Parts: sequence; C-alpha cells; structure tokens
Amino acid sequence: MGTFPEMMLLRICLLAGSGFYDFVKSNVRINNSAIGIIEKCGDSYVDPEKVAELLDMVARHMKMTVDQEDGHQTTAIECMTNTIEHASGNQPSRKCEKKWWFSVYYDTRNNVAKFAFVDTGIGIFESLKRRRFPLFGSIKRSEILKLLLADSTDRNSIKPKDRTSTKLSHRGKGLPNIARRNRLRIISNNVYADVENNQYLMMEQNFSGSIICWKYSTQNHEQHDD
Amino acid sequence: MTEQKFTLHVREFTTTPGPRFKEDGHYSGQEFREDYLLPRYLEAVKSGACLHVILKATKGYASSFLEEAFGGLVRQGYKKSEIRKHLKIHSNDRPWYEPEIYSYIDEA
Repeated sequence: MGTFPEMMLLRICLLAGSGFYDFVKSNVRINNSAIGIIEKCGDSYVDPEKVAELLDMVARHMKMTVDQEDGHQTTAIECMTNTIEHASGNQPSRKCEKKWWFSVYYDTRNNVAKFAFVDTGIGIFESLKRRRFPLFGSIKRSEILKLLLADSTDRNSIKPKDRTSTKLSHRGKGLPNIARRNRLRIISNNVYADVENNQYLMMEQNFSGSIICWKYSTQNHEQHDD
Repeated sequence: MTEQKFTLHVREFTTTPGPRFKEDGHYSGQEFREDYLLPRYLEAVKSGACLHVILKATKGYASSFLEEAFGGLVRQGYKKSEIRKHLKIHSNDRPWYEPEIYSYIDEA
C-alpha cells in the first residue's frame, strides 16, 4: 500500500536510515518502446472521450474487436461514475476531491494490456456508511463487496432498493458491470478483492478511495464483450 | 400503429456516451433523454408511431447512462406500457443492450 510503518523509530531506521530513498528517484530510464506503452489521463468529471482516446491506442495494437474495446470503455466509465457519485459522500465540501486517474499499460512483449483506475474519493465503504446502506455494520465489508459485485441472481439476497448506496432502485448497477473484467482486483478503504480468485480480504490499513485494476490479453477473452 | 417511421441514432448525440447526470460529465444519459430521446419519443407518440432507437456506431454504454436515459422516462411520468409500445431499441451488434434497456424501463 505504500504507507509508512506507524512507529517513528521504524520509519527512521528502516526507511530513512537504510538509504532506501537514495534509490527512489532512479536515474535509470526505461525504454518504453522496448517494454510497453503507457498512457494515462485524469480529471474530476466523467470524460468518455478521453477514455476512448486511450483505449484506441491499445485496441489498435492488440487488434481488439469493437465489442472488446467497448467492454473496457464501459468499465472505465462505470469507475468514473462511481467516483463522481460516491466520492464526496453527501458532503458537498469534499467536491474538490472527486478526482480520478486512469492508465493503460500495453505490454508489447507479452501482448497484454493492464488497466488501472484510481480515485481519491472516500471509498466504497465510507460512502455506504454515510448513506446508511442497510447491510453496513451487520456483515463484514469484504462480504458486502462480494454481494455488490455479484450478478443479479446472487444479488437477490439484497432488496432492489437496498442494492445501491443511494437507496434508489434504479442505481447500483455499475459494480456488477465492472466485475466482468479479467483478473480484476479492487482495493477500496480497507477491503482487498481478487475477484477472479474469489478472495475478499480485510486489510489493516485504510485507503481513502479506490484502486481498480484489470488485465486483458488475447489469450483470455472474456465472455461476450471483452 | 402508423407506417411513419421515427428513428433516433444515438450517434447523432455522441459516439462516446458518458455518465448519468449532466453535472457528472460530458454526454450524459440525462442530456440525451432531455434533448434527443424525449422530443423524438413525443413526436412518435403524437403520430401514433414507434420511435426506433439505434445504438450502434458508438463506444460502450455505462449502465447509469442507459438507466437514466430510458428509466428516466418513467420517472418523468410516462407510462411503462406506453413506452414499451412506442419505443423500440435496436442493437444488433451488441444484443445484450436491448433486454438491459427494457429492464431499466420495467424496473424504474
């Protein structure tokens, strides 16, 4: 997670004292063309055109079909929408913190695209807590995430109006769409999910926001749209 | 139902559909409904015809865009049965959007 040890002594001895920081600002230049291409963008509102621009590059290199490209486009937009809708909770004063970054790394050697979405909002669970999501507090956060990501069949255990943090039945369909991606991993607040391996874990450290990563390779086609 | 055909290509609005609400970003479902879908829908209803909405030739649609655009008609006061009668979704290249949109209308 990149957080410092809580004990001051450890911070000084282990990190600063060890000379670790001498190597953080590396002078080594990585030749992008030999390893891959990275493109990134970021903003505080949903920008489908920017995402399309980024994905066009990967789609061209990987010879993705229109449907495959669409799947990634949709997922990125769902992530951004979640950031905008959830990031400030119901505190307008936090509006400035609705910020997201989206990057696509195309590994030319292995013909794999790696997608990463990060937002500095309040995270899924803090948002659910503020909006008094009915299951909040009664079951573990990791279990809640599992339910929110599940398809409509599994989600029958939650009443439609309770599926979304907004408590409106027409909301809350974005996370199951995100769950369609391959090798999907999510960190939000203190929950880590490796969706493909059905691992939903509680973390000791809390991250304020969400990180959503997925991969695409020509070897692992997703069901219908990726 | 009359023979006159009313057609709306989403690409007339945008090729990159965006979020749910106008204030969330560019090319939202709300904007599409207010400026394109609803006027054309009302025109079709007035003529006793069906509005054919064509989804192709755009990038992917987020669920919130589709829900706000089509489910939003119901929340705006239009009857589900009337919408189902006067609105036909066409998405031959990505057929999963059709049942998805109808479910948003039914569940709104």
